[in-house]
Amino acid sequence: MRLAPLVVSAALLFGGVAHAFPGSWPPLLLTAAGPGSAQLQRAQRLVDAGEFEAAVTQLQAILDEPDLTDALLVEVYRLLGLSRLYLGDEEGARAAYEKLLQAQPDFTLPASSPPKIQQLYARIRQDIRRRRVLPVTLRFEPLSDTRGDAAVVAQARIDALPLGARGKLFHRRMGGQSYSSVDFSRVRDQPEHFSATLPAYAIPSEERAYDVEYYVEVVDAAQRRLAGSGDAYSPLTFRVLGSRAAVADKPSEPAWYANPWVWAVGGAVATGAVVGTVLVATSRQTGQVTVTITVPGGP
Amino acid sequence: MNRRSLLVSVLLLACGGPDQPVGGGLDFSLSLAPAAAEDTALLQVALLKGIAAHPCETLVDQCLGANPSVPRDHYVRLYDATGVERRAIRIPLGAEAPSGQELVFRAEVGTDYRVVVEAISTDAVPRLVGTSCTPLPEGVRQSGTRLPANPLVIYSPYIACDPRIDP
Repeated sequence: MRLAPLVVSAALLFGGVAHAFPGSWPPLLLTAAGPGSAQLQRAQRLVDAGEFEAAVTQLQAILDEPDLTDALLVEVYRLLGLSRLYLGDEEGARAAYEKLLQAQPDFTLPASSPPKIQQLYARIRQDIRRRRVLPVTLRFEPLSDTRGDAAVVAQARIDALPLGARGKLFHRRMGGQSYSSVDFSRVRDQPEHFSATLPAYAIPSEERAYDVEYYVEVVDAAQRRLAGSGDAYSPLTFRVLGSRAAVADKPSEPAWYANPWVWAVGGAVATGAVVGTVLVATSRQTGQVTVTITVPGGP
Repeated sequence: MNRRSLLVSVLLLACGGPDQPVGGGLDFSLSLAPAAAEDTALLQVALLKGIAAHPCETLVDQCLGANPSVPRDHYVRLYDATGVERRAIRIPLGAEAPSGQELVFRAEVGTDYRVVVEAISTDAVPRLVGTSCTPLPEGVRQSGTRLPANPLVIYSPYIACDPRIDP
């Protein structure tokens, strides 16, 4: 049976990996908390017991959980790849390792791994590198104007989201210097759908309406932008309506001093007044002097 | 005030406004002895600011234009018939009938003036024939003032200085 040596080698390989990094994976399993962590420990025990089919079922169930951390996903895909190798499912193992390498591209086998396993793993990595990478696509519905003091939920569809990548909604009040951000999280039972909630305190209600600038980005683990809608320099906007609806909704009349003609006429009058004052102040008033010459006894 | 408006203001102040002729003024009559009239080619009229600053004792017996006690800014601005500003106005005496001859010019309105009239000789090299020094407390005002000048003091011999005052 051709798969037998492979399975044995894989067991040695990942046992070796675990042995080579005693401070990484097992402690992670023990200390991991949050969604899926208990199930992951059970999956680990099933793998240790050689119950690979049950382990695969357990690991698939974990992947259906929302809000999984990247660290936990790395562990899930590592065990999934291992279990599938034991079961002779090389393609399934390859798919799992592909996800694992997306999250941890520099993942390598320990040098003590058997050469045959090293060759297998190198071939998998080579195949993954050669494979055309699907572009990440983001479809995002722009946010509508809203009342303040209420959370705003943004919905997005993200396709081909790599492991380790995440969507973020950046926002700031118009005129602010920096953006704040909230993460998108996967919607339960809808793997491609994500939502992000802009908290109510970030958009307080005020008497006068104001604008909020925002943009959406999908970034990888290295914070490189993979897809997005808007950006920091060309953000999208929505308006937080004022509590005084009449004031906020009706465009207000511009103030009299906002009229450029007021300033033009005022400037001309002021200039004329200054010029006139200067001319009057600097002009010299003259009087006529008549000198009459008299020569007594003259004709 | 920005730089441009400051520059405009400075230019306006530097140029000053146009002269504004007003009514009234001064009617000044000068009596000239016949003997002096014969030797006089020109009469030169200047107005000085400040009667007390310029007593007649310091003004006679020398040419006004060369008098170191009278700086340039003590002259009242005068304007001849063409409107040119001068420190002194000259009138050539008619050889035939100088009596009744009139010299008309304009002077800056003000008070506390002193009128100095100098008679300039007919010599090829002009000399000072005589000087008339008259205080003018009311100066040149918008309302007319009539004033007889003090008599011309004739020097003997005539003083050998060039009495002509540059503009």
